[in-house]
Amino acid sequence: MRTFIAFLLALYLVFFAAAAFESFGEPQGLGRIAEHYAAEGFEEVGAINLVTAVVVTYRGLDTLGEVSVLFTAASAVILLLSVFPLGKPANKPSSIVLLTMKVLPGPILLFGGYIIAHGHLTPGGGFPGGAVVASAALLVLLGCTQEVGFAKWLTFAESMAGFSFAMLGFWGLLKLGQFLNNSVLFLGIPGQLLSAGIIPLISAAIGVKVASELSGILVAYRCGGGKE
Amino acid sequence: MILLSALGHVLLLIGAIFLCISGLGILRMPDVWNRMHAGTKATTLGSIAFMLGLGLIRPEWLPKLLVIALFIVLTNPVSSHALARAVHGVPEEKPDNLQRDDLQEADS
Amino acid sequence: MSLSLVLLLSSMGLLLTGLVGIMAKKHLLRIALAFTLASTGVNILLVWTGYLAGRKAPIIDASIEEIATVAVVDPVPQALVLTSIVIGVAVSALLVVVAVLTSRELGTADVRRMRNLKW
Repeated sequence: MRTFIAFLLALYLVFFAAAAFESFGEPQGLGRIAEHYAAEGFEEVGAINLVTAVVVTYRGLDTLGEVSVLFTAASAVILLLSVFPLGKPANKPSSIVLLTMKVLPGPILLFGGYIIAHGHLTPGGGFPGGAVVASAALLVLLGCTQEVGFAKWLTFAESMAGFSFAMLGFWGLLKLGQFLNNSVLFLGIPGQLLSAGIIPLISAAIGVKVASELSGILVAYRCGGGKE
Repeated sequence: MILLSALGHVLLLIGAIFLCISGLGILRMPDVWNRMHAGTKATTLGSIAFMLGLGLIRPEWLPKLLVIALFIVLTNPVSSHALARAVHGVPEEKPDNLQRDDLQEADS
Repeated sequence: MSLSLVLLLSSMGLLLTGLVGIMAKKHLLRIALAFTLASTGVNILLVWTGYLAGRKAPIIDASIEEIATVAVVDPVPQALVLTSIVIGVAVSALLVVVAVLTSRELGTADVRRMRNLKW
C-alpha cells in the first residue's frame, strides 16, 4: 500500500516533468550558444573535443564552482568520519589482494594520466581521469593495514590544484582582461598533444583536485578521518 | 565479414543474457554469498562476451576492447574476493548451515 | 523506436524507480541507493536534451570541420553531466556516511523505528 501510494506520487511528478519536456518539442538543431561553440570553438580555443572546451574554458567559472561543491562534500565526509570514526578494518588483507595492490596501481595510474593529458583531444579530461586515479588509490587502500604514506600529501595536493586553477584564470584576467582566457598560451596546431592553450594545464589541475578529494574520502572511510 | 559480424551479434546476445541472469540473481538469491556469486561471476563473463562481440562487429576497436577485457579479468575477481573477505568478518552474515569455515582463524 | 525515445524512457524509468525507492523503502542504505538511481535518471535526461538524431559526438576532426554546426550534438549538456557524475559520487559517499553513523547512533537502520526524530 505504501509502495503503491509512493508509486502514484512519483508517477505524477515524472509525468509532470515529461509533459514539461514534451512541450519543448523535438529539438531541430543546436541552440544559439551551442552553435557558436560548434562553429567557432575550434578556432577560438584550439581544442578538438568541444566538451572539454566547454567544461574548461567557456564555462570554466561554473567548473570552479562545481569543483568547490565536490570539495564541500568531501570535507563533510572527512569531518564526520574524524569526529565519529568507523573503527579499524577487521581482518588482514589476503595475499591475492596484496599481490594485486603491487601490480595494478601502476597501469591504472598510467591510464588516468593518459585520460587527463588527452582531455582536449579525446573524450576525457580532468573529471574522469581524476576518478580513475582515485580508483588506483582505492586499490592501495584495500591492501593496507596501517596509515598510508600518501594520505598526508592529499590536502596539500588538493589545495595546490585549486590554487593553480584560480591562478590560471587570473592570468587571463591580468594579461587579456578576461577570466580564464585561453589565448594566454600559444594555441598550437589543433590535434597535437601540446596545443589548445591552457586547457591541458587546467585539466591537470582538475584531475589532481578530483583525484585527491575522492582519495581523501576513501582514506577517511578506511582510516577514520586520517588524523587520530 | 558477415560471418564475423553475425558471431559478434551472437556474443552480444550471450553477454546480455548473462548480465540479465546476474541481475535476476541479485534480486532473488537468499543471502549475501549467493548474491555475490550471481553479481560477480556472471557479470565478468557477460562483460567479456560484450567486449568480444563488439570487437568482432567493429574490428578496428578490437585492441582497445581486449585491453578493457583484460582489466576486467584482472580487477573483477579481486574486488569480489575483497568484498567476500570483508563480509566474512561480519558475524550476522554467517549462514546457519555452514559446515566448515577455513577462514575462521584468519579473522580473529 | 528511436534512440531519443529510448533515452527519454530509460531516464523516466530510472527517475520513477528512484523516487519510489526514496519514498517507500525503509532501510537507510536502500534509500541512498534509490537516490543514486534517481540521479542517474536525471543525468540521462540531461544528455537527452542535447541529443540530435544522426549526429556525432562533439569532437571536431578533419572530416566534419567545415560542417560542424550540423554534424555534432549539443556539447553543453554533456559538459554538465560530466561534472555532475563525479559530484554525484561524492554526494552519495556523504549519504552513506550519514546513513551508517545515524544507524549506529540510533541502533537501527529502519526509518520506522527512529522515534526520537518525530515531533
